[in-house]
Amino acid sequence: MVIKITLCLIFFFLGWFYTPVALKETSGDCISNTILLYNESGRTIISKSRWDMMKGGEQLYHSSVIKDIQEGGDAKNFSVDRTLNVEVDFHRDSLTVDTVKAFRINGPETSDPEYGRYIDPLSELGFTSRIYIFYINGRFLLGFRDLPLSFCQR
Amino acid sequence: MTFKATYYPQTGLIKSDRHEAILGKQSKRCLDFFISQAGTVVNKEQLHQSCWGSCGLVVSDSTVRQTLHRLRKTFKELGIVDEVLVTYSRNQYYYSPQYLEIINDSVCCTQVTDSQDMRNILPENTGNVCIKTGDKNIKATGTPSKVLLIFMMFFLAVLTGGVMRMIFLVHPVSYVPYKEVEGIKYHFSAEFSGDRDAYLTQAINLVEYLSLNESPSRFVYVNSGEGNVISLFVCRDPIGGGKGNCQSVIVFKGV
Repeated sequence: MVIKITLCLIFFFLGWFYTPVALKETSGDCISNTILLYNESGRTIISKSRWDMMKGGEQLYHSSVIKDIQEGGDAKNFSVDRTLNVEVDFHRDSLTVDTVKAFRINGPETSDPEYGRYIDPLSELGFTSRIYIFYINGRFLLGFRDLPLSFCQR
Repeated sequence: MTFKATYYPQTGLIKSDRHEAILGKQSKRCLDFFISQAGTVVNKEQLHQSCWGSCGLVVSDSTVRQTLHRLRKTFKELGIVDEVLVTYSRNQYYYSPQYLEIINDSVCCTQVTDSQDMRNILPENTGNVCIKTGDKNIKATGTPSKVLLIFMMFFLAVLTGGVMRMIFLVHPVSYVPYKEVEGIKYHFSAEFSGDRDAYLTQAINLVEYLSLNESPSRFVYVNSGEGNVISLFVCRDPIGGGKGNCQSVIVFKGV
């Protein structure tokens, strides 16, 4: 009986610890469309992004068009394309995502003094954040605590 | 002669009117040996040789003692209070044949499986007791069901662990409909605690500013209006329904 209970506990924890692994392994490709809007004095920056998350969730392709709209109406567009690798570390109620590799294909560097800070922070090497998984009607959303931000399209 | 229990050597089933059991592999082999030597005294070495040595096994004396103890325990459970296996000095044993009726009939297994839960009659089952008998009923419904039960129990434990983890890891969200403006249905997160009217105005302006109202988006979900961030989902279909074509809009105020 004691052996059975011990084995049951072992299997319980197997399920507990294996679930994130299974979740990662079974997660399919995911596309997320995001618009980031920065309201600043004198100008507005609109960054329209598309995120392609590959199966497993640790490789991403980021493509965005950043529009700089000056107060007078002048607008300037440029695009940003990057590939990146992230590390995902599961916690009890959330996960930590760290950008461990980021390769710039197109667009300004993150260090660019004028536009660097408008590039989606996840695509910046060294980005780290606690991410929460949300669920609604068969869909998973990702975001900060109590704040869903990203919607997986498929 | 009145027998107190019936033993079926082919299947290892031993039963009386108050209890029945299927003997384990070792116990059965030893009892068979005792029966074959009924009326004579056998010593420990003979037991070693006949119960284990004949199978190429070498076991300790404590294993022999344990097997005899199990047999005696079974006899007790069957209601035989007298000593079926009598111990003499210097590790010698004597089997009293008057207590057990031996029946060479493999049909017994069918009766057992029909009438009893196998879990209750396999106190020391080693898992292959009935395999030798060739009785298909036991093979099909007895041991495998026990294995299946254990497998199911472990599977359930794994599943419970997984489900518990998912409960902690995945946070359900829900939205409540608020207003419909120009054909677009605005919803607010159930946890939204800010001024909904104020944020509705901002959301409407935002949708208009980003020209999202020109696209076939008909559903807007406001996630939060706290801090410096406004987060919306602008969707063609209800969230979670259809193809889930949603655009995430995040506004950083006053950067």
